[in-house]
Amino acid sequence: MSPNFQIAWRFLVAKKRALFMSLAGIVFGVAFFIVTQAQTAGFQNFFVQTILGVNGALRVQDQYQYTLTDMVAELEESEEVDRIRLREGREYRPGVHNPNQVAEAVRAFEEVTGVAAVLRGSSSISSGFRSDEGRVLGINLLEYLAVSDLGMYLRHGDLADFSADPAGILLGNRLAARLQVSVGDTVYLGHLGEQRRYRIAAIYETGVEQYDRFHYFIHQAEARLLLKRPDEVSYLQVAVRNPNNAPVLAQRIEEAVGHHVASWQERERSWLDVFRVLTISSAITMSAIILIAGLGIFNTLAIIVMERSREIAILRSMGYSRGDIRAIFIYQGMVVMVLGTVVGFILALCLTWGVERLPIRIRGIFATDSFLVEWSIWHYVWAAVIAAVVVFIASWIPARKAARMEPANIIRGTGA
Amino acid sequence: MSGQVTGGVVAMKARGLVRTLGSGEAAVRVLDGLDFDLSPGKTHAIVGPSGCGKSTLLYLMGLLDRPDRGEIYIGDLELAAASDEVRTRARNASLGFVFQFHFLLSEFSAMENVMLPMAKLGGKSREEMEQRAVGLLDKLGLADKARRMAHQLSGGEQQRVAIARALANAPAILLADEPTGNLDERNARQVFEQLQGVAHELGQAVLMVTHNPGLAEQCDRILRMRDGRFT
Ligand SMILES: Nc1ncnc2c1ncn2[C@@H]1O[C@H](COP(=O)(O)OP(=O)(O)O)[C@@H](O)[C@H]1O
Ligand SMILES: [Mg+2]
Repeated sequence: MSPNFQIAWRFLVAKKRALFMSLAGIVFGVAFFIVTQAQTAGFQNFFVQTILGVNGALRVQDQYQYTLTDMVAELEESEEVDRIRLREGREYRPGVHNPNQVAEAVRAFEEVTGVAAVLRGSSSISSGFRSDEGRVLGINLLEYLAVSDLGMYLRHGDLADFSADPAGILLGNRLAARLQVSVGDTVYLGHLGEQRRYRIAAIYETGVEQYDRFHYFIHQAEARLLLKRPDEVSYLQVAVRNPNNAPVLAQRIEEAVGHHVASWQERERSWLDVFRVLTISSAITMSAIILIAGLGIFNTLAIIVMERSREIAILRSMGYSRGDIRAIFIYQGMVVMVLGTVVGFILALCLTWGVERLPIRIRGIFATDSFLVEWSIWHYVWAAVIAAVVVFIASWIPARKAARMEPANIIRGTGA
Repeated sequence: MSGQVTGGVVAMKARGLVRTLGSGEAAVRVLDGLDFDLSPGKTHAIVGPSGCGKSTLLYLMGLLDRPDRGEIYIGDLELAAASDEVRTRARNASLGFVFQFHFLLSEFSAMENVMLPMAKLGGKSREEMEQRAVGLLDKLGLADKARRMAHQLSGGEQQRVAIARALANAPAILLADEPTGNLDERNARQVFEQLQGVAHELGQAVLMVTHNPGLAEQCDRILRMRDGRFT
């Protein structure tokens, strides 16, 4: 053990009480920082997982053409085009009109793991009890299961039933409750005055209000008949290998297939922003605890420097350099920092474990019945970095003061 | 009149030391051009009225403070204007300092206090340092108290530990500022004899400020100071 460290240790131990308070501050600051980050990240991850499970990573949507080059084509085809929007010099045509071809082009991307065509439209939906408006989604089940977690969200009924019954329908639990229907019951979908009859094959709950309350799935062939749209689909839902890369991939696919491609990050920006703000604000709040602990350490060390000024002078007189004196006080901060961080880590592990078991019921953007946490080494790394920076500054200032003291002045001051 | 020795070996010498303390109107020229030499194996006493600048001189010689003008040599090495680093190393290797108050580190045992300068100098194993520390304490009559904590020792004992500490790295020069000033007559005599013995047996140059005329008389040389000059 270096003499500097030995001196630091004895100085520190002689101030056990003050040391304990600063230590507690670091411990709680580090632990709470980690737990709040683990929670926010836990909820965010589950949200993202739900988004990917329900909406997929990418959506290939409206076809576009560059306005200048395609003016004439537009005129020729204008009778077929029902709506034209202008955006950024592009001309958009809703939907995907040659889905097989586009799907083929999208599948050609190595990162793409699945593509499903979805035909979407509005319809009325009614049971014997009441009637409502909603969104009908026409899917090919196998294709769709490859790009979503629909299977995981089933609460009642069976996908095999849906598969086997061309007039089968999948319903969200909230809509089912509103219509007061259950598996096996009949509902009627109406579009442009015509009604068709469906049998409920299964009921799902995603936790996403939109889906559970307003959406329902039928076979795509049925949807074409109901909505009277024989060829096109509304969008392609795409699953990818690495969802974090979705925006870049979206850009590349967009250029390759001439359709607007939206990544989940783009579609869910507002929610992702909410999570980002939560992450940052809780990090700041918890860092404030560490900062206050840092003030405590600063205070304790400043007192030690004053109380030990004669000892500092004598150490200097026997050949300890300014650097040695500085090291002695920095070591004291480091001891508190290392101890506080290690104990803080242990407390964080325990708290995170406990929080994960706390019950809480959330529906709306996802469905969970307990707190969600993410176990990430990075939360620990960040807490340690913040504690290290704070403690380093808190000990650097008194250490510098101690190093700058002139031994002759100190000794003269004692009347020798 | 000056403290210069003509001929012979010199352990440490000072030339034209000037030191002004305070600033502006309160500035006092505490040392006013001092020259002197310290001889190895000899005890040198500085005597003079309170406030005449004895401590100020010792801090300069101990490299704890810098003169406004003048030179300080240990051997051929000039140290008054040397870098902090060189002066720190010289303090560690060539100088031992004993203050009026002992200034031991109270959370360390007597032995550990004596080991502090050795640990800084390096070059010795822990066992060697312990052995040397116990040996020095033994020489000062404290063999049985080596493992006592500093605050468990009496004032005289603490001052003797401080002397052992000053001797730890076998420095060529030992500086002591009223080392006996705080002790009763019996302890004062004991501490003085030990310093005297150290100089004569180990060949160290000892420079000691003292108010005790009886002790000063027994030193090999006496330097009398008044108003920042030797008389
Ligand atoms: N900061 C200062 N400003 C002005 N004068 C000072 C200061 N410190 C000490 N002195 C003066 O320097 C003189 C020498 O002090 P010192 O060396 O301690 O004397 P001694 O040790 O001989 O009693 C004293 O007269 C004292 O008043
Ligand atoms: Mg004095």
